[in-house]
Amino acid sequence: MIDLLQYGFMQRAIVSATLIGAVCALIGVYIILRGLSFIGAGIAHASFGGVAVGFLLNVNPVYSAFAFCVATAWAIGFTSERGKVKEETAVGIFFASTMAFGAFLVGVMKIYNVDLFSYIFGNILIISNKDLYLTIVLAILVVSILLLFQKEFLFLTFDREMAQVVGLPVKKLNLLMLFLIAFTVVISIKAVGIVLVSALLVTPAATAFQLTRDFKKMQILSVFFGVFACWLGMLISSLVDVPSGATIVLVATALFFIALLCSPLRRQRKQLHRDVLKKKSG
Amino acid sequence: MKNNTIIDINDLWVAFQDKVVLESVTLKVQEGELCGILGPNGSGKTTLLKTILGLIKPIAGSVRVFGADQKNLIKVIDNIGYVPQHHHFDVTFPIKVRQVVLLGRSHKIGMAKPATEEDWKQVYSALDMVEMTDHAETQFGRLSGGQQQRVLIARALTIEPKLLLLDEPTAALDVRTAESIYHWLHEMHAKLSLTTLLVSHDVGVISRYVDSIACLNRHLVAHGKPETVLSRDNMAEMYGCDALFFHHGKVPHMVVPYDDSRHKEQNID
Ligand SMILES: Nc1ncnc2c1ncn2[C@@H]1O[C@H](COP(=O)(O)OP(=O)(O)OP(=O)(O)O)[C@@H](O)[C@H]1O
Ligand SMILES: [Mg+2]
Repeated sequence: MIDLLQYGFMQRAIVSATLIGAVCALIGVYIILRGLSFIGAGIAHASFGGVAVGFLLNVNPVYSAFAFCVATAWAIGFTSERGKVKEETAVGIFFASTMAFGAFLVGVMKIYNVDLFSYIFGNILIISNKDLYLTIVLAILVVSILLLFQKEFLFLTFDREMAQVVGLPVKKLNLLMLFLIAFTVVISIKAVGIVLVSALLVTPAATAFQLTRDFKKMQILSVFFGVFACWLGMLISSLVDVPSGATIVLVATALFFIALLCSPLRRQRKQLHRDVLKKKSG
Repeated sequence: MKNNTIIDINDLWVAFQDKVVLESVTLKVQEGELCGILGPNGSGKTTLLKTILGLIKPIAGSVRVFGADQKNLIKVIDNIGYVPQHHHFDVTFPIKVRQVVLLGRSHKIGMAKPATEEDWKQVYSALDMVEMTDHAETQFGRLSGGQQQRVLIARALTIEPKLLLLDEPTAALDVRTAESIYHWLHEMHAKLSLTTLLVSHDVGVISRYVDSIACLNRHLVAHGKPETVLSRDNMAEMYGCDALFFHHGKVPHMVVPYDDSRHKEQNID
C-alpha cells in the first residue's frame, strides 16, 4: 500500500476520490430530498454525447462532456420551469436523447476504442494531471456554493412555493442547483463512469438518511460515506485489479445496506413495537 | 382607521388554461382592515391570494400591494405574511420546526447570510405566539397536521408583517387554538393596524372578528360591512342556494351560532 502511494497516478487517484466522494455526497443530499434520483443519471448520460463529440472533434472529451452536461442541465431547468412538463419528465426526455446522440456518433465514426470504454465505466487510476486540476477547481466551486446558499437550497427543497413567496429567486436557485449537479457529474465520470455516477450521487445520501433526520448531520454523514466508499473502492480495485467505478459503487451499496439494518430510526420503531406488545399482554 | 389603500386590485382577470377563475375583480383593502373572504369551493379565493402574492400572473388587470405592482413586489415582500391552505410536506424531510419558521425570514436575512441572533429571537417569539416553542427542535414532519399549521402561522408572523394573507388558517386547528389565534389576530390588528385577508368557510368566525367581508364567486359579489354584505341575495348569488345561515334573527351580523335549527331547515329542504 505504502509502495503504491509513491506513484503519481495513485496520488492523483486518492485526491480525486476524496473530492469526488465528498462533492457527490453533499449535493446528493439535495437530490434525494427532492426525489430526483434520476437526475444524476440523466445528466451523466448527456455527457456520453459530449464524450463522443470530443472524440469526433479531437478535443479533450472531458471539456465537451462538460459543455453537454451544462447544456442538458439548463435544458431540463428551462423546460420544467416553463411548467410544460415535470422536472422528472424533462430528465427522462434528455436522458435518452443525448445518450442516443452519443451512440449515433459512435456508430457513425466507428470509435470503439478502450478510451471510450473508460468513460462509460470509469477508471480512477488513469486520471491525468489536467483532469485533476479541473476536478479541484470544480469541486471547490460546487462545495463553496452549496455551503454559501445552504439555507436557500434547504428552503427551496422543502417548500418551493413558500420560498418564492418570501422573495427567494427560486428559478435562479433551481438552475444554479442543476448546474452544480452538472459540474459534479463532469468531474465524476472519469472516476466512476457515465453509467455509475448516479449511484455515487444517490447512495451515500440515502445511507445517511437511514441514520438521521437532522439536515446538518445528514450532510456530514453523507460526505463521510461518500469519501469512505471512494477510498475503500479504490483501494480494493488497485489491489485486486478490478474496475474502480464498479468497486466504489458496490462498496457504497454495501454501506447502504449496513445502515439500513443498523438504522436507529428503525430500531426505535421496533423497540416501541415490543414495548407496546408487552404492555398489552402484561 | 387611516385611509391608506394596502391592497388595490383593479379589474383583475385570472385564468388557468381555458378556464376563467377570476372575472373582473376589483377590491380595495385599507390599512388596518381585517377583511374576511367568503365563497364556495372553487370560487377563486386561493387564486386571489396567490395572485396578490405574485405566484400567479393575471391575464388582465392590476394588483398593487403597498403601492407595488407584481414586478416590484419584492420591494415590499418583507411586509407580507402568508399562510397557505394546502400543504403536503414530505413527513421524512429533515428540517426542524425552528428552521421552517426561519424560512419566513429568508428575504430579511438576505441571501447567503447566516441568521443572526435577532432573527432567532423573532423566530422564537413567533413560535411563542402559537405556543410551539417546546417543539422548536422537533423534526417538522413529526408534528400533527394542526401543530404543523401553527408552525406555518408562526412562519408568517416571524417577519412582523403589516399585511397577513391567511387561507383557511384554522381549518386544522382545535377550537381552543383557533380561538386564541383569532383573538390574537383581532388584538394585533387593532394595535398595529395590521391589514389582513382571511379566507374562511366559517361564517361565525368571520362575522365575529372582521371589519369587512368580500364575497367571491369568480367575480366579487360584494364587499363591505358584514351586516350589509351578508344579505340573503348575496348568499344566494354566491352559494347558488337559499342562504341557510340567516333565516332567523333580524340583525344579519348576529350570525347563528351552531344550532340544529339549521340542520332542521336543511332537512325540510
Ligand atoms: N394550478 C391550477 N391549474 C388549473 N386550474 C386551477 C389551478 N388552481 C386552481 N384552479 C382552478 O381554479 C378554480 C379556483 O380555485 P381556488 O383554489 O382558487 O378555489 P378556492 O375558492 O380557494 O376553493 P376552496 O374553498 O376549495 O379552497 C378551481 O376551479 C380550480 O379548479
Ligand atoms: Mg382555497
